Amino acid sequence: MHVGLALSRVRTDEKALMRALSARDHEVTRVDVRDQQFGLSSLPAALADCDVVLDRCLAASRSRYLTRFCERCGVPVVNDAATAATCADKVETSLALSAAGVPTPDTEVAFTPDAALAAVESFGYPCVLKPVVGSWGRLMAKVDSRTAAEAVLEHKETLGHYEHSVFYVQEFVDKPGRDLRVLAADGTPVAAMARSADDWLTNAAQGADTTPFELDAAAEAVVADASEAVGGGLLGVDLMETGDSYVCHEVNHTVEFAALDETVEVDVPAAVVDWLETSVAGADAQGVTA
Amino acid sequence: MKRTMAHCTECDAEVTVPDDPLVGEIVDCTVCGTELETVEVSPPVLQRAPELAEDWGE
Repeated sequence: MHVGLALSRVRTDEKALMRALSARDHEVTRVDVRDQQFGLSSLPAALADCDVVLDRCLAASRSRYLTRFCERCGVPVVNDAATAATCADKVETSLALSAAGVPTPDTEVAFTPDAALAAVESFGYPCVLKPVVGSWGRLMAKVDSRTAAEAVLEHKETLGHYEHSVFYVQEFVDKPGRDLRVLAADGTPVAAMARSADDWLTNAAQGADTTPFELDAAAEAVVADASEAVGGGLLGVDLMETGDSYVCHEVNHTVEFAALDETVEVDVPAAVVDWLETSVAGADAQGVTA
Repeated sequence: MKRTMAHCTECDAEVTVPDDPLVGEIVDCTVCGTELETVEVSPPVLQRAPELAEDWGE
């Protein structure tokens, strides 16, 4: 299998993937997307002959376009463009989850600070303001009062980028000091961990403590449904426990797994390669019979 | 792991680089804290890494 690894920054995750692929004698072509030009009907030569391109772009904007160009040129890409577009935007993710009946925190979107403030007041305090694009817990605000809401909304409006004037307001879920990260391949969990912190943000990138987590049937069902809702593929599905059930608050399409790999006994990069081999073989078989 | 040395572009301190560096890999200068991107590997050459952008992440 010839795998194109499209990236810019090389993280621990990408190095681990390259090692796991090379260990199975797969050919890996690493392409820094910052050096490339993408025509309307041709991929950069380094990617054009790949059996599959792995989108490992750090920037969501690059990821969204890279995946579109791959599909335009008939080169399979993981994850696909529709999944990337859905997961790169929290509004799109919430809409997809809701439409599929996946339990997800109640969310409202507004286009002006006044309308957003009304949404905040309707949720009551605390509630959460999130940027529609972003990761690692950046620019997330837990809003505890009307004055705090007014300040955050004013700051967002003046940040400059138009996306900050799309106000994404969400109920605050009183989780038990942790959330859950599940790496799933086409809806099947590869491994899961709990991320715990004293802070309300429990992202591994924010320094949360991680421990292995054994999923029950209810959690597995939410993961499978969330994966299907955004188009499947290799995903980082984030869940919060709500007592007797779970809600899915985020699905990541260029999932980082270094923290998970350090936490669980599963060889995560090897499991990713297992899934990739099966997926590419399945796509080839479909192509033969089509 | 065996390591080689390069120099921080900001403070000129010696920075340790893994012995199997890749272009695009990030190392931190332990003296001034600057994030440095590996731009050449043989020998390792570093430059100041791009600033974190709003759409970076997973």
